[in-house]
Amino acid sequence: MSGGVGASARRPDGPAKVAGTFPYAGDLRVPGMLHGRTLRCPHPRARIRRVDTATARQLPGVAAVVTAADVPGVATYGLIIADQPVFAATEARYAGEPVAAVAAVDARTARRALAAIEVDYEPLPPHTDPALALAPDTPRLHPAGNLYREIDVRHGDPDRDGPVVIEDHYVVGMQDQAFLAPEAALITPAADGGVDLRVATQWLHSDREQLAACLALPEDLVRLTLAGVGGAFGGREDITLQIHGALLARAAGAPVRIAYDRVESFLGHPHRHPARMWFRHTATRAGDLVSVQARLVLDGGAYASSSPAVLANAVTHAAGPYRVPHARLHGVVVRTNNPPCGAMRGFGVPQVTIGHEAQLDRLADAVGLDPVELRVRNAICPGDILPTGQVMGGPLPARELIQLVAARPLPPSPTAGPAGPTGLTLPGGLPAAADPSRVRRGVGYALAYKNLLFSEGMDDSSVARVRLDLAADGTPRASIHSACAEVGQGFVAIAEQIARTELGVDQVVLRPADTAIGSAGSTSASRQTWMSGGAVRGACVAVADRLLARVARTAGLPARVVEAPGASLRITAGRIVGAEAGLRLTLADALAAGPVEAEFTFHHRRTTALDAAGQGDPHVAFAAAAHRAVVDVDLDLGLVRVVSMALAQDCGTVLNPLALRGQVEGGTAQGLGLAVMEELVTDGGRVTNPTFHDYLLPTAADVPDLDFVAVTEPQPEAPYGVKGVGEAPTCTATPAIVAAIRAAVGRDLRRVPVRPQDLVDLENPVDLPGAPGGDPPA
Amino acid sequence: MLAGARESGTEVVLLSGGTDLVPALRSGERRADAVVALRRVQELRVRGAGADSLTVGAGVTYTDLVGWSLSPGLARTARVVGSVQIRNTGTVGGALGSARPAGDLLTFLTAADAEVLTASPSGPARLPLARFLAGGPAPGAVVTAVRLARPGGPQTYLKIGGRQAAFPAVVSCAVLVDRLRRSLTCAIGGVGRLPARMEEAESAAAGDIDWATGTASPAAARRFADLVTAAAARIAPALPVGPRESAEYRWHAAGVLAGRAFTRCLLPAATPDEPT
Amino acid sequence: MSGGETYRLHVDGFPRTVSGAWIGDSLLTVLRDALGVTAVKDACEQGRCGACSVLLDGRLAASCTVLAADADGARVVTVAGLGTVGLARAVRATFLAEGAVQCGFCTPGFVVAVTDLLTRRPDADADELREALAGNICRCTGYGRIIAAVQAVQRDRAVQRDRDAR
Ligand SMILES: Cc1cc2nc3c(=O)[nH]c(=O)nc-3n(C[C@@H](O)[C@@H](O)[C@H](O)COP(=O)(O)OP(=O)(O)OC[C@H]3O[C@@H](n4cnc5c(N)ncnc54)[C@H](O)[C@@H]3O)c2cc1C
Ligand code: FES
Ligand code: FES
Repeated sequence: MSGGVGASARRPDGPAKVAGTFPYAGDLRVPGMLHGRTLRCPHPRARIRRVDTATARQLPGVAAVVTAADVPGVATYGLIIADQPVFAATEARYAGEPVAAVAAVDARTARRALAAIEVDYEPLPPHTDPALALAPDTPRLHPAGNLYREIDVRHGDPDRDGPVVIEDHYVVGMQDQAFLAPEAALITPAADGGVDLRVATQWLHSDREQLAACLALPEDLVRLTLAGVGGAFGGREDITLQIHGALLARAAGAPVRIAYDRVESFLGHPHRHPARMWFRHTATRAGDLVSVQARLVLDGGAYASSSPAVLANAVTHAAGPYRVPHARLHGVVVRTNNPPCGAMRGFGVPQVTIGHEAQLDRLADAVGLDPVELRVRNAICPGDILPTGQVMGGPLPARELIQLVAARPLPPSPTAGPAGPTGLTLPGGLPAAADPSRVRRGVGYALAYKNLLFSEGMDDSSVARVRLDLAADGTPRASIHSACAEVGQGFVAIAEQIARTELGVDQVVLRPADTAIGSAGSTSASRQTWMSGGAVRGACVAVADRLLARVARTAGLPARVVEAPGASLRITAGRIVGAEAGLRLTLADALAAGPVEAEFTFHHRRTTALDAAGQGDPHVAFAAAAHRAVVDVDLDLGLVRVVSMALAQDCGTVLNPLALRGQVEGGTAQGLGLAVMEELVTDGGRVTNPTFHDYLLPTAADVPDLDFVAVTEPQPEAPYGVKGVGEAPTCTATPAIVAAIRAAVGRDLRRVPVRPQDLVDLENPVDLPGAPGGDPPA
Repeated sequence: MLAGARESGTEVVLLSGGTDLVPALRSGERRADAVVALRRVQELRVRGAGADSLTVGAGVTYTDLVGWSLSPGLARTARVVGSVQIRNTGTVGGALGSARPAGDLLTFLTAADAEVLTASPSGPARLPLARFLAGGPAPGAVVTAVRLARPGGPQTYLKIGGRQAAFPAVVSCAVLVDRLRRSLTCAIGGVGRLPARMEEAESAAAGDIDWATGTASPAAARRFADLVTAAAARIAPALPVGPRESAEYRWHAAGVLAGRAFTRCLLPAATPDEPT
Repeated sequence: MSGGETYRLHVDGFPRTVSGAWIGDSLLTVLRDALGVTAVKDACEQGRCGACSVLLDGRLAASCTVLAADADGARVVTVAGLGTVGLARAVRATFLAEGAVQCGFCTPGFVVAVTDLLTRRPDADADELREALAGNICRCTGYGRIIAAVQAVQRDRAVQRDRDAR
């Protein structure tokens, strides 16, 4: 048996993916299917006086047109609060809000039908400034009001001050998940009155619950199967086209393919919350933190999505992984007429990390300490009390991580090497606009921690079923059934590894993820390896137990062995061995008597909600990461090149080293994007750059090699001691790069993403080199 | 055919590589009832050199230009356009047809005083690039080639944008030095609706350059940069600014790029740009 | 050319007839929707991401920027037509071995682009590789494993060349 836990096992879906044959949701086609499209409101806020679909319905080739009037069940949906209309009925609250949908014989006819729908809008003045959302003269933008949630954490004596005070405001822009495969689903009405969906999503059962409520169907008539998912990063946690497509399929009585293009994808799913943050850190002259105050305003946009949970994360992590005796952490997440914001990798933590890490660097300057030294001095340790009163459980090697990353070798200096820098290696890249003599290098650090799994008392669980039988060729085979959404993260490999290790088989097959089994929860919050990995392991252990009990019974072993077979028998490398019992037979022989099957539900430890003072035991566990970024900045043009990134991360037990590397490299790249280029820009509530032409993503030329060190202390209570690994590096990459830019240009940076114009001195004339150093070859 | 079609109200469009047109057709930004495909018209794919001029056919792609030793400046400009995919497909004719405000080739050709050669039912025509860009091609005209002078000295093209590769220019600058004619020409892209010539800076530079050696002083470079910054601020009509680059930043960057381009072409220790 | 006519494409070695397509359809749209070649991915339809990369008469192109009717008679090679031997096979194998595939949506485009790149520039250094692949966006991997895979192919090929030389 090879490819068990701890090996760099290959992904089972890999061969199809490299061959181009892996079926993504957008690739699904059936004969006779219709094409669904969505009509979206162009105004950030508008009263809808009338929606006239008569002309559209009469167009040849149009099979169905649906609007709010056609929603048979609950008119609204939402992950936490069902406040978002399936279709806007009387008022639209953001530019891009769905108003109607059509199904037609082909995409062009569907597009024509959309154009034929007449909507009489009365544009209303949009309210897009989150700072004013709660002002007395701002109207309620929704019957539920403009406040999604407010949290006030008080810890120690919030009025206590140290002698050194650092206080400032920070702004973080809106990032998009920009998963590569836009939203898509194939939806078929079923003969039993139900509906079958093949869809790319992060959470099949949450989709089902919301679909059933809006369609007024019992949940068992709403069946979902996961179709190939091309990335997610939080952007597929909310419903987008599922309900629209199901309404169309039911209205037309035919299968409907509904899919977004890139522009619609940008408008269709919630984004990362933009944040405005104020921090006040005080410390002793020696550099020990005395207090942290924070006030956060997150812009939730027009609908709730997961805003309340994102705020809890932002506020409870606002002081960072540091020992803070006194704190007052306050945050609100508010409704505006901007696009809705929700889950994205890091879930509220990247924003506050940008703030607290900038503060720590300035504090280091103020007390005359090295930024690493200051962090080492204040880093939190297991046993310390967090601002929520939660005791930090172990392990959390924050101090070790920052020391480790600081000890990594630095890249060679910018001008070293025989050829010197070429265009490719200069800020701004190949066009070689940078002038080497005007390039300054900066080094920056960031340390963060991120909660793992769902928080605040949620009894989260995941179900898996495992069956052990003989394949047609007589070899033992394990089949796994879980509703865990594989979105790219590699759960499919991990699940197989677990089954190999626990059941000693080579052959493992994964059934498609669907709603025929219980929920696996969301593929988010760094939870699936732990939760669904735990469920698969639990089911494997139960299967092994059942099989061994059967073997013991058949072999006439004593009742004590039959009752607790695991104590004396075990499965290893295709055999069942029980030295004590003198038993030795192959797994295949044992399975000849018939397959064995078991289901297991994994729960994590219970947490508690926050009380009025923001106190409680809200988080299951944490993982930490530390990044060091090295950047080169062209001082005159404000161009930035990220030269190298080093990461030390608290990973728990590593189940698959290659998959781990992929996760941390991907997380780092997304953090890099937020630091220097990725921003979904709104103007009066309208997104002005919903394309890959204007919303720039990092390319291979932007992301340097990652120097990565894993710290692998096992996490108690987690299967095999794992920790989730995907989110922590996204939290630290951005602030480390921002810190490095600050070090290079010598000015404090208060806005992320950092723009070239924030880095150059527009007041003073251009500074040209006195002595030319020669032109860099292109 | 084109002229006739226009009169009858059907939309006939010219197609070269399609890198601009095809996405625009898909998004509905452009309409087409019929397409005249030029990609495989061999006559449009030629590059040629006369005694003192270079002619580049409208069907020549960026990739075709990258290695062209007769015009290092053009080669360098082509090299920094888009990605491999776009350079392989996008053409000179398409760049002129689209006339994107920050199109790399347009900025370079503006500094190069290029002429646009067109063909139409009324016969072939030649017009200066600036006029072509200001008025657009005559109805029914097909761009067949551009013509520019053979390089008479160092030339370079610099651009900046939002990332390390495959980005559209935010601001760009072309500088061409002609030692025979004793002239320096400079165009700035990304500030105005069209690339703009920096005439005042150009004539100041002509006076500052020691034409015997083809060199200038750092002070001259600084003056050149300042003049370009000031002129950039006067370019009209200006492009609407994006949230990531203020107008002031663009003017400033124009000056920085111009100063650097000047330095690379004219300061003694510097080497002019070579194509990769 | 005018609306709704018929033309022939040569896709992955097979002649395919397209009829009744809209004159303005991109090669990407025709490959996926008319011919069912879904190995070519649609992620931006603006030429910005490379997910739809194909070889068009041997040159790397983004099929969303090519007019399908203008590819009449041209040889179109998608990831499916690159073949299962030689360089393309090596690229696929190292993508798997080096962990360059996560969600995999960028992968078909990358396999085409990398195969093209290593054909033209077998010895490109890391910086050149990164710049040359900038027309292909991957949102999952951060490119580290992709570059590692490309370099692994380069190493294997260099060893092979040395062996052949001896
Ligand atoms: C992803 C991407 C990246 C890009 N990056 C850059 C960049 O970095 N720098 C840059 O400068 N540009 C860039 N571009 C724009 C690029 O498409 C143009 O520069 C290219 O030259 C257009 O050429 P084409 O042959 O593809 O034109 P087409 O798309 O075929 O045509 C463009 C326009 O010109 C018209 N036209 C075509 N041929 C002629 C002719 N012979 N006579 C008259 N009119 C004609 C067409 O009708 C159409 O309106 C980029 C485009 C994309 C999609
Ligand atoms: S889909 Fe063609 S480049 Fe993105
Ligand atoms: S693997 Fe998901 S986009 Fe590359």
